[in-house]
Amino acid sequence: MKIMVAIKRVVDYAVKIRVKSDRTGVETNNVKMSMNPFCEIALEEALRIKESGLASEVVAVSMGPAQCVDTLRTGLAMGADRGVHVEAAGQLYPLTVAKILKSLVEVEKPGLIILGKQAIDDDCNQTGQMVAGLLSWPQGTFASKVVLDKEKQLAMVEREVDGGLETLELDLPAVITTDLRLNQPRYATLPNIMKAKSKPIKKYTPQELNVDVKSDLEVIQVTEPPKRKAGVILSSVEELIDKLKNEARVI
Amino acid sequence: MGSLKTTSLFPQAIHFSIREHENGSIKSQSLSAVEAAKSLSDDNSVSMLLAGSGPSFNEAVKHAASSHPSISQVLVADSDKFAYPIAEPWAKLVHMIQQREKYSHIISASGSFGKNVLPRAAALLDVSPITDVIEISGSSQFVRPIYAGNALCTVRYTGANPCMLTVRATSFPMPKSSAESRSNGASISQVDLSALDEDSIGKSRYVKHTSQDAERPDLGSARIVVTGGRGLKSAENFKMIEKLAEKLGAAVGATRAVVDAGFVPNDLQVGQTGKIVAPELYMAFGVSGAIQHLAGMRDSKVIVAVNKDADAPIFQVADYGLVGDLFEVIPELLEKFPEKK
Repeated sequence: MKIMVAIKRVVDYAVKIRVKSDRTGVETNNVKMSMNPFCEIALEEALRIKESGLASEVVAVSMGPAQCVDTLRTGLAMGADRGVHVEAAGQLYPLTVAKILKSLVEVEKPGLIILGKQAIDDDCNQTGQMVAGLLSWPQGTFASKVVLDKEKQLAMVEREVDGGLETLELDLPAVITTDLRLNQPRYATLPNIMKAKSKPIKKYTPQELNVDVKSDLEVIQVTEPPKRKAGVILSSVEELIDKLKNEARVI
Repeated sequence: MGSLKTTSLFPQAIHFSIREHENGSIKSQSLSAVEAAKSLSDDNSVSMLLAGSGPSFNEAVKHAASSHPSISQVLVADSDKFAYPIAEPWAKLVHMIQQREKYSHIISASGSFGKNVLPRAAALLDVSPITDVIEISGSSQFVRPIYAGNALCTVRYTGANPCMLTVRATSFPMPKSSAESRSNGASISQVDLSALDEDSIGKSRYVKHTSQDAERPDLGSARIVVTGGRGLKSAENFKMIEKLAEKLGAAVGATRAVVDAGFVPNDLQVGQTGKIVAPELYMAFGVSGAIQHLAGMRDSKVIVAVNKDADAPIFQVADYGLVGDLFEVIPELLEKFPEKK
């Protein structure tokens, strides 16, 4: 079985972002970019499945500008066998990404797709569900545990839901999206980074995959959230209780 | 534009919390989706969809019909196929109903149910959904947070009907007045399920649900939240947070560090990847205030931070800060806080 993992290049999670003064978006020039943390977890899970002998190949795919190749190289250095880059300029929304993934499924014929549960830039939490819908495959979202049964072609997925954990059994092929608790992604070692340079990355355009990138969403503006007014530092527990009672009136 | 027809999708209450299962009532988060729908439609034409089966489901249907004055119709899909909150049959159901009824908007609360189902249904309908809306500024213009709440994005939906949204419950609270006036009773109509396309239903099966202790108020809708961070150091020490929460009638929250260390279950995590809360009072003990944590609590009305590091970023958002050792402060608070009413 082949596993396809979708990875996204985003502003590094530790960067304090800046909204552009013309309100068209967030500054990404000269800002550190990295692989989306949830995508790292997705890739790690795929690699572990392969290492346990349940998958034969892990294909990492990414959509976006030319620099996505750097993100794919990171994925190859972690252990992915091959990369696929669908080069597209401008903003891609989850519906478009899901359609591209669906087209790639027709080419690559994976038995499982693993994605992160959300990208930390747009915070959409949609792509995995949408590609599952387009393919009519079952979905196991927000996974904190995945157990595959190769004989029966099943995946047991433990999911993080409001109020606890839920376990589902999915027929393969399926789509899984990863929550933070699924695993601890590995670091790429220097020899593997060197090896990754010679691994193949196949290129496509959305047109070659018959996907129209036009979108039914339009960003009107991006603004900074309202600032909270400065607070005060108190000196004692008594003072705190007094403020909560008589000033803020919340207790 | 003619009158809007709006449907709010509801996580059938039964599956989401034991208490609701026993009461057969509708989750308060779901009613926030009706509040959001109300701002799209002045003529009380909000339909609510409920799916499920069994005796407590019938209770929930009755409750739904009188749960909000803006609900004019309750659509009921009574079938074992919806006995569990699984995405595949639910998305098919929404798709089928939309093809018949042509709603202008389909809305759900941004809980784990809505986030699981709505994008799948949107893909079946070939439209882009909009996640976690915090403000509705027109029938097709919405504000949503991006980058962990560090920027707000105004988007316009330019596609065909339906416009599909998940809304952040804390941004659309149900006003007390509408809770009191209730409804004169919406009409209840059964959804004809004979045409339900079974293509992808049955490829996933529900196995079990492990619920966490639900003694305390629900984190998402609590009036007061007491959160502990890395500064608590151990699961044993974290019990002080629980004790304080108990005294205040508050819900308990946690940071990622605390969840990762195994002090508390992960559904107590507050932040970009956990729960988003906006209580009247948020008290953070031993929480540094990482970007990802602030994303989940920055809209709280009053924020109190107790930390021994005066430079901790949490103090930049706190209304009241106390620089000190939480192992001294919490016991003192336990002793001096007035008893809850």
